[in-house]
Amino acid sequence: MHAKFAIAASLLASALIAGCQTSSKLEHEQRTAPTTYNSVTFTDYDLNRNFSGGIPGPHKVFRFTAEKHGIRRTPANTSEVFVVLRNHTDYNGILEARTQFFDQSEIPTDVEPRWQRVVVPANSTSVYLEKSTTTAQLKYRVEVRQAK
Amino acid sequence: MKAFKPIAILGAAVLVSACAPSRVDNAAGQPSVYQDVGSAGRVQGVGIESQDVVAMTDKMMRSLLSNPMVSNRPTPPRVLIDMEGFKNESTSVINLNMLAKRLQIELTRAANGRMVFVNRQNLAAIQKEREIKREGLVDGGTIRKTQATAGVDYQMFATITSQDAIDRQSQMRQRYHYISFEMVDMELGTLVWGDGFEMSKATQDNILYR
Repeated sequence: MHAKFAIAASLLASALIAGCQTSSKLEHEQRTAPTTYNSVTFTDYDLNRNFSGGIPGPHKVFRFTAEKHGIRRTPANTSEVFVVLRNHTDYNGILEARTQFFDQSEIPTDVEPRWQRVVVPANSTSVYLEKSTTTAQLKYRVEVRQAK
Repeated sequence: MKAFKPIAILGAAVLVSACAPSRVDNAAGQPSVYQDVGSAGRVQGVGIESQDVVAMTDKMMRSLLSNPMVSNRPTPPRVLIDMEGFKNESTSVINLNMLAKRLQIELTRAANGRMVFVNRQNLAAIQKEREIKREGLVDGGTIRKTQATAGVDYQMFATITSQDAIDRQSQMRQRYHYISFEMVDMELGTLVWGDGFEMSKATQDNILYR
């Protein structure tokens, strides 16, 4: 009886440890993912993140998503980035976003990025817009976080 | 003997109080910390704070540079931005010069020759230099001579407005700000660009701005 209990307990413990390790590995991958261009990143993990593995199984933190994003020219030939942010919760959300522009050689250019607030109503969408100051052709990387 | 007892107690008390050393509070205080000027700081209220100034001037700079009437002219327009054109009609305390200067400096850096900024704050010094050059006290410099200092094509005007509300029971207060920016053609008197920045804040903390 005691032997069976010990085996069951050790199996459960090893499963738990394995689960934790998988979860940590995934989190490590997410935190160290390479920088991509023409992309939107949620820098607050409780806004949009995937965690999986372990006994509880796959788990998604999925409060806000970027439905669509892109870049276009303004009448003055500068660039404008747009991100359509969607709030999947029943509560109004106040986010902050900033855009780093890069030239075609992927060298950071333009003025220093600054956080701008975006209010996304409950179960709704809002558009974050950011203009560049230069007229060169640009790539972008948008970061989104929860407003403090 | 009975009278000796209270005297002894009093004496002991005097002795103890005299022995108590006068101490300096030598504990390490809270060290001052640097904060991100673009994010909310430790002290937050309903007024205009650093993150608002940064976000506001940054937004206006980008908006202005994407306006072809101002930033895409074959001859760069001469623009005046100083606190003379800025008004504070709100209940918030704000240094208008800080707002005007940040906007002007950020625009100067980003415009890169697409606009020329006129300096009127130092007009007296400029006039004095021109006079002594023309009197022959100093030579004419290396750039050029002009008949007069630069006239302004466009001037920036801004107005800060606010609306306050206080819950008398909870002392919760909120303030809505709307800050309008306008670029005016100083010859024709028309508006060539306009944009606004708005925000609403609520807090229970009694923050003093100065």
